[in-house]
Amino acid sequence: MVIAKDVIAGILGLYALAWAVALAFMVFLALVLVVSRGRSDAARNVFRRAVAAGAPQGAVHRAGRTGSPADTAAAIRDLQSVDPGFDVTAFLDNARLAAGAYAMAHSAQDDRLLRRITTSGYWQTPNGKAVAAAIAEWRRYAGDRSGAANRGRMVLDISWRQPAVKNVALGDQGMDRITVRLALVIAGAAGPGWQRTDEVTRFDWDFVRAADQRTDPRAVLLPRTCADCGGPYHSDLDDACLYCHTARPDTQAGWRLDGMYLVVGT
Amino acid sequence: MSGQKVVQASPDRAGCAGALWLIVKLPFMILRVIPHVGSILRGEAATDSGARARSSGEELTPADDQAVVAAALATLKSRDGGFDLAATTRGVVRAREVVGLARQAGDASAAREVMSDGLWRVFGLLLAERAAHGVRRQGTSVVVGAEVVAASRDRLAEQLRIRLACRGERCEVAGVVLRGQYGQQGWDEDWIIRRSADATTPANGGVLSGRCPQCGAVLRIEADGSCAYCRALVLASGQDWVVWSIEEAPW
Repeated sequence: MVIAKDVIAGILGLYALAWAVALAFMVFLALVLVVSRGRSDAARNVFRRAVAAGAPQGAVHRAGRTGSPADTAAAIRDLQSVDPGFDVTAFLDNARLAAGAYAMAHSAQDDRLLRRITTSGYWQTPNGKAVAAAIAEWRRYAGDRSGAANRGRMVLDISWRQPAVKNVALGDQGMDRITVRLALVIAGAAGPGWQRTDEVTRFDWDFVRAADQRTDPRAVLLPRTCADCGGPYHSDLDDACLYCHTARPDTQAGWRLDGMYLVVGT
Repeated sequence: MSGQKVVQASPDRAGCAGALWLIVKLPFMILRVIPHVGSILRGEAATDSGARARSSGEELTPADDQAVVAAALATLKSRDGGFDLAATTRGVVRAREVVGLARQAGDASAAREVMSDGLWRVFGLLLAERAAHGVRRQGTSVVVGAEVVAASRDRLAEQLRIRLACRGERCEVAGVVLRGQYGQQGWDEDWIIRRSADATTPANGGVLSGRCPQCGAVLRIEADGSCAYCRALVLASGQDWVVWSIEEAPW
């Protein structure tokens, strides 16, 4: 009897400890929100510096840390000398699609397009893991309800500001790598009550392709029908033919998103 | 009768038990978030949210110095004798009407003929997302003024940022008003058009005038972005101006 009482007391004690830790964590998050979203820019900058200093390798880039414009232009010329079909405007246009795919994954928990345009390595990066964890958490919550997307959040608009090629590295470990910096603007709303949840986040996006790959100008075109059976794709989010289930081909002219870094102004 | 009572009572009991179970497991649900605290903090540090986002990141890019813009336009004109700023601006206003109709109809294909490939694909994603939530844009507006606020050219591309002064009503609703308001108001939109540095103005006016820059036919675009008549890729900005970006001041 005494043992049973001790066991029950132990379980209740552990449960009380769980509540204590959970409440402490909630208070910590509330403090973070007050500092991060408060009016004081000074406090926010201290917070940013602390986060940037403590971030794991490969998660955060500091604002301003990029290649020189002259070096970037020279590297693009080098790339075009071996790949005359490469066009920066078309490349940036495809980068925009990656930004849209990320916005849908981040804000609507729909990662179908993002999965199609990323490398497997992307999902091993800190930010890729964070996206995957958020979507997995949503799916765990949503269970077997119909529809893959989160219907409690909506995206009203996606746009970008000041997209620019910031770094070009050719033939690095057999890969060409181009880094694009941009500010991603997501205007959204969340239920209940559909309160606005606008966000502006600065990112560096790393796109890679095999160093010996060349641009096929027609590869930027978007196939709207399955090459195998002719069935139509209903949406850009479709990653396979709905009829014959053949995987949808790559439309990124060989470039895939390999990493994504939050840019923190410090 | 007693069976009916059981049926009526069980949802209450289930609801009560469900609420109790939620309270019991709530601390563990919160503890599950702790491993993700690093990504939460990094996201907060890199993101401006809410009012801060609207007041800084979403605001339109400040206009360049007028003399700089005039010099860039003169350079553009000297290289491309067919360039007509007034006609180009009219083309952008027409493109805005096309995109507005597509947005109101919820049909992205209607805007295919003026948008760059990537912009159009993101536009299509957005319209699908909005349709899934029943979001509708209401109201009509007109352009009452237009001004080039930035013009740039490098070895690869030319780009114009045209600020449109708009007047009318705009409101987005999904049961409740999500953004905007009913009633007449004024606002600015930046429409950024871009073309290859080698491109010149087609004699027939080109994409923004509703003509194929390659064959001159009335522009009819296939879903893959090519002209239905000559199969030229007219929306990759290699041959003519296309709408490259649309930026709206926060609303």
